[in-house]
Amino acid sequence: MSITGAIVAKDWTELRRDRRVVIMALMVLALAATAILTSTVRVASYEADRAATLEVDRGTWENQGARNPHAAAHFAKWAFKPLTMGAVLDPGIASYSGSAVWMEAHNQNPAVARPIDDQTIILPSGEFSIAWVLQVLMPLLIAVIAAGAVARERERGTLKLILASGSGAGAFVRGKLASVGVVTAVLAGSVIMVGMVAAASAGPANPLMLALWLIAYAAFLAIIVLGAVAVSLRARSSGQALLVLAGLWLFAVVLVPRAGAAVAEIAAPVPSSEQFWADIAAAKAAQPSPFSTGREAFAAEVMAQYGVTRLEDLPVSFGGLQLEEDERIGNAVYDEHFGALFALYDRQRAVMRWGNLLSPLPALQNLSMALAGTDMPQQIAFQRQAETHRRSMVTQLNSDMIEHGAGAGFDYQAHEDLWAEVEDFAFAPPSLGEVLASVWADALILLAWLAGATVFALRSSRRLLAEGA
Amino acid sequence: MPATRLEARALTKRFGGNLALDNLDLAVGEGETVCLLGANGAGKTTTINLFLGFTEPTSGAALVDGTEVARDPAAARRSLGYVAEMVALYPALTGAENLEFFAQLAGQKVDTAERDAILARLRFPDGAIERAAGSYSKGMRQKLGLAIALMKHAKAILLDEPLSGLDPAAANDLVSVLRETAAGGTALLISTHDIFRAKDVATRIGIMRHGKLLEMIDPAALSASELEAIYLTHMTERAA
Repeated sequence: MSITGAIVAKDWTELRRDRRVVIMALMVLALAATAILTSTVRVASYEADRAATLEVDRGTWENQGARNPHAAAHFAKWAFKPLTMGAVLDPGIASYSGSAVWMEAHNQNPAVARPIDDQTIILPSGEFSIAWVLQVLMPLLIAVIAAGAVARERERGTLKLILASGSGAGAFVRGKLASVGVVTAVLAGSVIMVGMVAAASAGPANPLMLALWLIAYAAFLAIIVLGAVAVSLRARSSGQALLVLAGLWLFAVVLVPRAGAAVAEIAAPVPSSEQFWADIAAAKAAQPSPFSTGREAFAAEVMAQYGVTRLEDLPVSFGGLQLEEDERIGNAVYDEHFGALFALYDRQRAVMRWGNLLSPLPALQNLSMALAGTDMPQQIAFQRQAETHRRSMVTQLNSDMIEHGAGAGFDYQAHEDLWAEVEDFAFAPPSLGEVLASVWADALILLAWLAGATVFALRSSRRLLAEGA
Repeated sequence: MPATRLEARALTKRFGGNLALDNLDLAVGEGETVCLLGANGAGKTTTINLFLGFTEPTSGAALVDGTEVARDPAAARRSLGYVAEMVALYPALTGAENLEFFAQLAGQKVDTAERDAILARLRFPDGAIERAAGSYSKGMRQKLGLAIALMKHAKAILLDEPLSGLDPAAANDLVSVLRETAAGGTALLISTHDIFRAKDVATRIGIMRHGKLLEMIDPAALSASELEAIYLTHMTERAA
């Protein structure tokens, strides 16, 4: 057996016989199992509700009978963002952002249950999930296991015996890295495998994205393993190593992500929900409405366009044109305000990226959510697609009224066949290229952390070589 | 002429302003047992650590079977066995598992028959090798430590106070096996406080004080009381 293999086998046997470690590992696995179960149930329940609601929504829409198209536009439809298997692995911001948009005339509604109030929704949710277990609990478990990897050998004197064996300090360090790495791989691998099996039941997923998701976590856990073993290499005792690692865990895993979010809130404050909608209402009110303050000008413009002097002579429905003009004016207001809001979210993300200088976790969280399809850019993509669909739907209904409702005003009733012509909303998730374009910086940062952790481990290893023992 | 297995050439070590080892010249040939006698701080353990490459010499050189330790500590260690004052073992592993692990690190496979023969020579209690090492007495740990060194078939074995704190029976067992081992051609360098055990086992005894080797004695030429008198004289000089 190689020296690395011998160290891995010895450490594995020791860990297996250490009840404290076994109990802690079992607790983590039990928590992971609970997380997988709750995530799977949550996603399955959401998808069942979504399917049922869509069916009812479609049935109600198509059976509304003959009525005015604009009344139908107010009757409205739902746009749903499907939750895929990625949401089982990492729910990201889904719980905070909402996954359903009510598409109606005049109004660009927010995703339901999305609190644009005093809480930034670009925060990783910290929800009990597989991602949470891997991001928060697994580093702590690695710290407990790795703290004594070298330091305990030093404090109980076995390090001298190991080095005296002639195996070489380099081989010993490689063995220790492999040892902690194997234990981590077994624990994290168990969690991920069970999670994947459970997630597969939630629906299809892009295998390449899932593979990249796994690679991102492998890189993150490798950083933790390298850093933890390096600390153990430098520490005089396993107690000292554990204290340092626990402090680093608190700082990098607990403090930095939260502090980053707080700083981002200060640097790019998001308006409260009330303020946001009040601003939109004020902006819309300031615009000349084709129904009131701007009616005369709009009527003149339309009559000139059609070469008539009286509205009654128009070959199209003036009411339909008014509605479409009102949509155009309202859309410009929404574009401006939602654009500014989304820009604030982007700025918050940019500010939070500075936290990556202090911890690899924010980069991993961004990658994890993006590859799971639950991050803010994909939430914004959903809301933008829903809005595009809403506008298309309203224009389709207004156009019917414009073309067929001349002279009938709002008494015009469209044929019920029109409802079936209105397509349901279908979310088109971003391609892999689009997803990667939004997180390439995070991927580079994670790689930089991996390189840094490798250098730190190598330097710590050289100290051991220089010390001899 | 027996081959030299351990050699110190003007070996010197300073820790800050403290001269821990001062210009030591020493050679231990195959089959020879050299005991270094001296009080705490005499430089005995420093000498052993320099041969093991656990610390680098300030000047001079330590050689193991012709290899300069500071240049290639791993190669030097491959020719060495080492028994510490408190042999450190993995308490959760059995004695057999401890032995197998250290054998694997030395690139060797445990021959069970050879292992059992060595343990029998050491009078290691029957069946104890399959018990967790955490339950071992100090004597058992020292015996297993020596067994690990012997299983390595090292050309030289360094023993740092190996008999300290052992009951007489266990110490006798160890001394007996050390004699056999030296007779088999292995060079032994032992640091000890125990004049009488040193006389029992050594072919030469070096008396150290303040990092200096003061005198090298042939124990066969002296009685135990004469040896004690010489040792005490050196220690008294120190006090004076």
